[in-house]
Amino acid sequence: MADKVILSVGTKRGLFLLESNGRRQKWAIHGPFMKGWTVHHAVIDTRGTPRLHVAAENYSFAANTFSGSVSGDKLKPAERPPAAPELNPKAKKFAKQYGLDMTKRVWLIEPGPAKEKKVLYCGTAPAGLFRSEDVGKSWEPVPSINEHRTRKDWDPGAGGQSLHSIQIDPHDANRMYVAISAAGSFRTDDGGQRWKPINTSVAKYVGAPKEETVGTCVHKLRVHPTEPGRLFQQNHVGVYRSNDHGDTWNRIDKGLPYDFGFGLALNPNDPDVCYVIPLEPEGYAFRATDGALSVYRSGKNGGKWTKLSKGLPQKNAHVSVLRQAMSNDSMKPCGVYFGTGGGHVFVSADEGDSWSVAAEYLPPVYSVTAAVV
Amino acid sequence: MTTSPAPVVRLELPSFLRTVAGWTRIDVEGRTIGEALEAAFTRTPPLRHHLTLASGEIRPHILCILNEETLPRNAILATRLSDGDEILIHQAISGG
Repeated sequence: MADKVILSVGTKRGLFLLESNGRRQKWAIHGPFMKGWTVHHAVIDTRGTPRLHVAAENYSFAANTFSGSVSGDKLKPAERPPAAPELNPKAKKFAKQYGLDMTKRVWLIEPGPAKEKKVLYCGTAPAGLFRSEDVGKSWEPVPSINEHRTRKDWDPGAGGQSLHSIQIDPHDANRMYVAISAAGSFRTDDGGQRWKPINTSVAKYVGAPKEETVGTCVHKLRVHPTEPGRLFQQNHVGVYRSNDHGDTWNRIDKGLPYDFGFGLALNPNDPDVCYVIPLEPEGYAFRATDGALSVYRSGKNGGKWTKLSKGLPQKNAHVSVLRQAMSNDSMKPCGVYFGTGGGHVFVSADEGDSWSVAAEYLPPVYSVTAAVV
Repeated sequence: MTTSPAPVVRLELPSFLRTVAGWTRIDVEGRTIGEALEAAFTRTPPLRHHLTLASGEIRPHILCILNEETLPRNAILATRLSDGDEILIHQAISGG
């Protein structure tokens, strides 16, 4: 059994670390760290000595990444921060017209391939991918995706135009995926030299550009860690599964109360399983369905959803769960985790069958990631 | 011809910028606030990104207070300094 499981919880006002043993029943709360900073994402890299990486922003003092030990109290900023690119002209016009957020941010930070322990990636808003080869001290843009031929047709969403998902293929270090709102998902098979849009058979959003290969609003993309070629995505329009590295997608949301949601988690022990939290899209409120906070778990071939609500509030829980605020750990049985806009962090140590509260009354939760250390 | 030494001034950051700088209060030399900030950036390179735009201007929504007087944004960098001056960097705050 693992010695420790640590949840890195990014919030509107600082970073919290929730710590438990392998049983994952009782959680100690450490923090807040990064006081005064909005923490969009934080992750513990376990490829070597565990190391904490944070994507944070302050309204007045700009965005950056911060790295340090998992104690959380000695984080250092990147000396050469990721410089998010400008919005393409059409997106800028659209964002101004509808008052959409154009703030430059770092949306997430992720470890690179297993054998390249000094390599990290981060995603920004406006959408950009950056690579560090010195464990987060300096960042360089990845022009092959940042200047992709389709960029002129990338739109901004209500939360800005963001590159919010970065997934390394666990079976091939040269294969990698990114997802951008609102453009779609992209894959490289040659270590980032060329990127192919992988949005065939994914529904387009209303008003999407005519460009055939983009115009989908993926909210979160995840690669299954053991099943080759298996991907899932929660989209603005539906939940999808792919068995061929994203070349084609099957829509699997039949049976869910809403096809809309943000968060997505997987079960490393069962490649059929994904977890989603359907949200009411009406009025752009993005709240739990009818005030009942429930997770849904997919079954064989992606269908046969099971509603998981044991231990979750089923009345007057009008909260949202954002796209970075849901994840799973790597244990067996796997733990599943999510945080809400109301500042609660819910945990399940039995693959979603039952839930309990690990933290409450935190600032609005923006991200939850789990590390077994 | 001799040049008089630059004034030594006190530069203070908001506490949460300790995460960036590792300090919140230092003494630096500078004939202007721009020079004093450059001295701080030399000592702590990541601070440049968090206080200034790529153009070198002070970021919007940052207040610079010299000896308890808030400076207009367009005058910050050229403001001349004297020995013992105190520069306070603050963020604009709104809400309720």
